[in-house]
Amino acid sequence: MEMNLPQEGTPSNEKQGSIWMSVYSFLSSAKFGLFLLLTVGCVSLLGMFVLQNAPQEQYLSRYGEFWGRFILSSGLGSVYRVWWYLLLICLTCVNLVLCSLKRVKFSFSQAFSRPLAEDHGLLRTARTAEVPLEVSNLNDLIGKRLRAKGFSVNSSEVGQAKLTVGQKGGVSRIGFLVTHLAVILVLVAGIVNGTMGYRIQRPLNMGESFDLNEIKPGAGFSIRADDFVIETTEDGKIRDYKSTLTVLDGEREVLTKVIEVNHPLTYNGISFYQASYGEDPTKVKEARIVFAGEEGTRTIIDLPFRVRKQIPDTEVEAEVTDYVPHFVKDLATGEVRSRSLEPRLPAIRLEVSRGGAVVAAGWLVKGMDVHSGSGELGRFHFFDYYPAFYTGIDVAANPGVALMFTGFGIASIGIFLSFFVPYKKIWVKVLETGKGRSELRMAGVSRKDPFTLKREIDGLYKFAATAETRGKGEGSARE
Amino acid sequence: MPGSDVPFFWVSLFAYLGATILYAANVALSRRWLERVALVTLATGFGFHSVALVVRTIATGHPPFTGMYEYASCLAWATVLSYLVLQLRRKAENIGVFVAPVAFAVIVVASLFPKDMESQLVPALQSYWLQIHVTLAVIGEGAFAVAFASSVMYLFKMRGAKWLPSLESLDDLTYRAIVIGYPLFTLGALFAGAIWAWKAWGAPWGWDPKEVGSLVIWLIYSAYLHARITAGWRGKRAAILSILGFSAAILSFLGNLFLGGLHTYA
Repeated sequence: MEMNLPQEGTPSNEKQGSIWMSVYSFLSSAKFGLFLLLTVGCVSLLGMFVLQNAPQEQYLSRYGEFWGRFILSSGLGSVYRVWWYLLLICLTCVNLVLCSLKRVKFSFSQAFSRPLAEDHGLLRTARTAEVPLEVSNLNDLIGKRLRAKGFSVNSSEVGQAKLTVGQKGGVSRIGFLVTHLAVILVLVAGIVNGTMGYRIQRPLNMGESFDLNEIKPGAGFSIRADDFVIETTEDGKIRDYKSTLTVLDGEREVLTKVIEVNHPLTYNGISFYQASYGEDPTKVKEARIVFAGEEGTRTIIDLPFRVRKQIPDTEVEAEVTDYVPHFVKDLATGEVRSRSLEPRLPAIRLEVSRGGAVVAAGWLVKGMDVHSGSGELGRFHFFDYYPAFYTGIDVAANPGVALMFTGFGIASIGIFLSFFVPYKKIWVKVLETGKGRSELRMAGVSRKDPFTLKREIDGLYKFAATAETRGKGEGSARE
Repeated sequence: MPGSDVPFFWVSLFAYLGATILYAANVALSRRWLERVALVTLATGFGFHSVALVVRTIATGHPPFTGMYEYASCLAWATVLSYLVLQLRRKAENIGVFVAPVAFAVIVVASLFPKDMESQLVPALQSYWLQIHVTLAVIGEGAFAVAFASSVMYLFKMRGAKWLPSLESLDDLTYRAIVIGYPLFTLGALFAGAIWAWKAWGAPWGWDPKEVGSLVIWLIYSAYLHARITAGWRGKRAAILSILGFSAAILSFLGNLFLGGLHTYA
């Protein structure tokens, strides 16, 4: 007992043999739609397994000469951007639009017009019941009963038979149109995001500003990172990390917000996301130094970067002037540089002074009692440091996002109508079989819930069987 | 010290195994009471499984939606839930004989992953969208698992397995399970996922392997619904589409182990 959607009708202006009509009926056919859904699915699946957007050499080394070249030339290596994938998506859109347009009239009339009381084919095979009531009496009773149950009812007379039809949940017939419209909106939003949107990664050191005019001319503001903190749990796991960002209009501070993952800052249509963080490879925030006193005492002191500080109870001053995260020294030239940007062998350059004059300078490697200088430098030990973090900000604009979420909302309504509003239709035929006697036939369709509908029709038969007294009385139906 | 969910988890695993054996025994011996005992065993396993999930939620302070163990466990739970709901809502033909082994297989997969509790969620997961996104998606996939079971049964029935319910009722059950799963999956996996991705990563869609996986699953079930309604595909071809849909879901889940991407937590 399931009713199909309207079968593909033939448009009235169709001319046999017209090539355009053939193209039209092909592009708008449900089978073509089905083919597209499955093809887009298969190709997308391929993209999950084939390396995407990698350099050419990687394809050749991973897949071999033949398959590597095949993947590159066919576009499988960047399948979601290749022209034929986009063509498939476009064809899906075209199919969706044509398919919907073809059914729009029929679906709207099913949803909002009064149902047609007809001698439906299903009535021919329906169960019959003899009821000792006049035809019009019985027909009225059934009609009222259907109305009381929330059906929209219509009646007509064909020959000697009285026909009634009841329809409920007709609005569900436009559910698929609403969903199709929403899918198109989401696709359009995706195109808007893809063509007009952007997302760039931008590391910012503390105090550093980023002028948005660089990526969007005319943006008219810049953003400054003021602070970055990492919150950890008692056992040292990272709970959260947050950056304080300030929006600057020229020199003027417009607003300040602390951003974290899931809580971006949006200003003038541009959003700033907390994406990552890392250690600044050019400096430290503070270096922790152990200083050996003359009587064998040890003093721990935290030296801020490039700030000269006196060691307590001495005349010695010290300053961290440079930092490298991965210490390496060229023995020929004596030049110190960093082998990588990772803090694998952190080292600081320390200047020691007395009375304002530098007396020793050289490099100290973290955790080691070696240094590249002379004299007083030997009394210093680079114990630890607090890194100067940079904050990794993703700057993004998704101009299609409002349209996309509107599409989601509309799709949800469409899905609700299609899936949760049960559509039912019941046809009733009453025929006179003798004076004061009628024959009753009923049949119905339900897309979602044929069992409930069957119960409902059985209930109507029972109601008719016991309706004699009611029919002879006031001629009205009561629950 | 919070209690552990693992003992309850193991009880439910063995209960699903027991239900599988009892359903199989019922096929061989055809005793009505065996079927009832199997259903009760499955429901008992479901009860223990629910306790396991609640205990874990209390112990970790967040719903058990992160990590492969937690997701697979939830999927097995959602499979049994969908089945029980379908079974209770209408006295349908009993398809427990195939649903129980599917639930058992999924929970066995869950048992293979580390079960350590992690109370500290990574910052990206600290959002109420975690609950919305995963709850809807996992129940949707649970319903797809039931549809998968009845579709497999359909194919067996076609090959002449007399002990199975009628082809028509199996086809109907597959459809009803997908009708439950599809809206939940669409809203949860795709819509809520896109909104969350936009809030957390700055782009509602980024062709991440898991996003593509969800799209593929959705396309296959969309094809199923369209094929059934407009092209009149019933029976075998519809059953194959339903099997493909759930296979894509499994692939997308296991893809975490080798595909990488942003969704590596489950």
